[in-house]
Amino acid sequence: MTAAKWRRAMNTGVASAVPRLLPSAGGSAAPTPATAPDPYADSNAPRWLKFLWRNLSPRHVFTLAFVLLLPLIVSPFIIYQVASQALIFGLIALSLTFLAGYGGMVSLAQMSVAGMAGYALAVLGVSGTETSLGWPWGVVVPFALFIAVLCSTLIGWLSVRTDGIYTIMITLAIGVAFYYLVLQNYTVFNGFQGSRRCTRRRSTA
Amino acid sequence: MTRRERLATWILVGGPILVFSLWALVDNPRLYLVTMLNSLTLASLYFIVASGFTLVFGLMRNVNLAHGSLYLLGGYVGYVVARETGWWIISLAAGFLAAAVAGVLIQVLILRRMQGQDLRQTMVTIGLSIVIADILLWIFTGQVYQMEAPTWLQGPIRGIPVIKAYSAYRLSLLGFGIAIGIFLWFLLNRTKVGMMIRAGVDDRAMLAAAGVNVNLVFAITFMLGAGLAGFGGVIGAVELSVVPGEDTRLLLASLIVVIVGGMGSVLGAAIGAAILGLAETYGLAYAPTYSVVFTFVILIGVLAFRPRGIMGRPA
Repeated sequence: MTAAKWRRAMNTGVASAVPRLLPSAGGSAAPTPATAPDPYADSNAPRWLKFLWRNLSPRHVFTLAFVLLLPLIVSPFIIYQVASQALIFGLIALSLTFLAGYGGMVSLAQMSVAGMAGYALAVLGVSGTETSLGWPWGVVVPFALFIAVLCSTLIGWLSVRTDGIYTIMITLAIGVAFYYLVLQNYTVFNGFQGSRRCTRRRSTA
Repeated sequence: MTRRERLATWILVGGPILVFSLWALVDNPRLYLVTMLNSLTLASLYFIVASGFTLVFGLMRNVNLAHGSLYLLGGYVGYVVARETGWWIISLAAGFLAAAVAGVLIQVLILRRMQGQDLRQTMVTIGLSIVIADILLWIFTGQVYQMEAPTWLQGPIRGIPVIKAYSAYRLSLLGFGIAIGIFLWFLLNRTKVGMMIRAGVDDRAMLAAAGVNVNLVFAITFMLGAGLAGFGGVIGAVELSVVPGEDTRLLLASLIVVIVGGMGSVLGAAIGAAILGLAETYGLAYAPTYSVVFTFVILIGVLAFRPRGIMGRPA
């Protein structure tokens, strides 16, 4: 399926789904799921409170409570090795979903973009390797994000010249080539060892 | 592209290469020529592997991302057979057969169920590549296997001017590459199966309407493509080595070769393999830690001027 076809399919899918998601637009569509009467409908409560009341469902509250309470219940190992990694990979997967769902482009270079931001953080910020420049935390994080955005813009600029399967192949090639660049280049990326102990503050010890 | 633009492209691309070549030839002619031979022999390995990839893509619009894993499978099987029988020729055939059988199984059991869904097929082959690589890691562990060249190809060839001596096996790779190229040309242009494959590349539906069993043609092509990967695996087992991770490397090489050369074109695969082999080997010889950057540069250069590859046609 080419990107153009995919995009069309997605758009028609969204078009048919919109009346269901926004019942007020259609009028005749299914009634609003809110069972309780909306107490904020007429009052001049702040807008964010109205927004929360309309969009928050029990599962959102449960999920939020679960995530917030998890550190208090389980061991640090689970937090560090399972939960935080799940969040990180979930975030990257979300980018893939966003790109494929709304843009119709399947990119296999998403992990490379994440890696570029990670390396930028390790090299420019404080980390255990010699190459680290030790910039303060507040500067490094936006800068790493900026580098990742810049790199992904370049990747995108390259891969939008083609579509569908060609995009997959080009992004995969870019991803694997980045992997080999990191593996080969010891001066910046420290090869297979990489960088460890990326922290906020340089330890005094 | 007008004539002036073409001339500008040639000067823009060829000029720096020419300057570099002149400098390198004056500076150290032996290094330059040895690197040239190394890159051409590596290119023929890339061509053997990537020609299978491009053949499968050209006919089925199916990017087989498990191609690297089939290469590794061929290498391992070839290694085991060579250790047991002691015959290198038999191990070549065994590597080809093992990968070909695996390819047919993938095509018949898995990919046929999702005919025409390119994206899904591609995703499935990524999964397959990971599964195959892990099974191979499980069986053969992470050990590095190095196959020995057959006795009649062992040792260097001496007495070549300037270069002095060069490995006979590596030189034979060039012969293998050319032989495979001629074989593919003959198969595609002079036989009935080749005619069907070419017809399928142009218009699948019309081929089916003409009464040809398209599924059979697909299976044969997939078998041939996978078999070429296995064949390359046995050849590469001597020249490089068989170790987990080689699959990704050869997959990257195949991808770049096919993107640069144009998908579905065997001649394009040869051109792409030559470009990639030259860039990679010269990069390793003259700028060791940045040789991968040259692959990026090639990719960007080709995509900027010809998004479908050098020999590519609009799909």
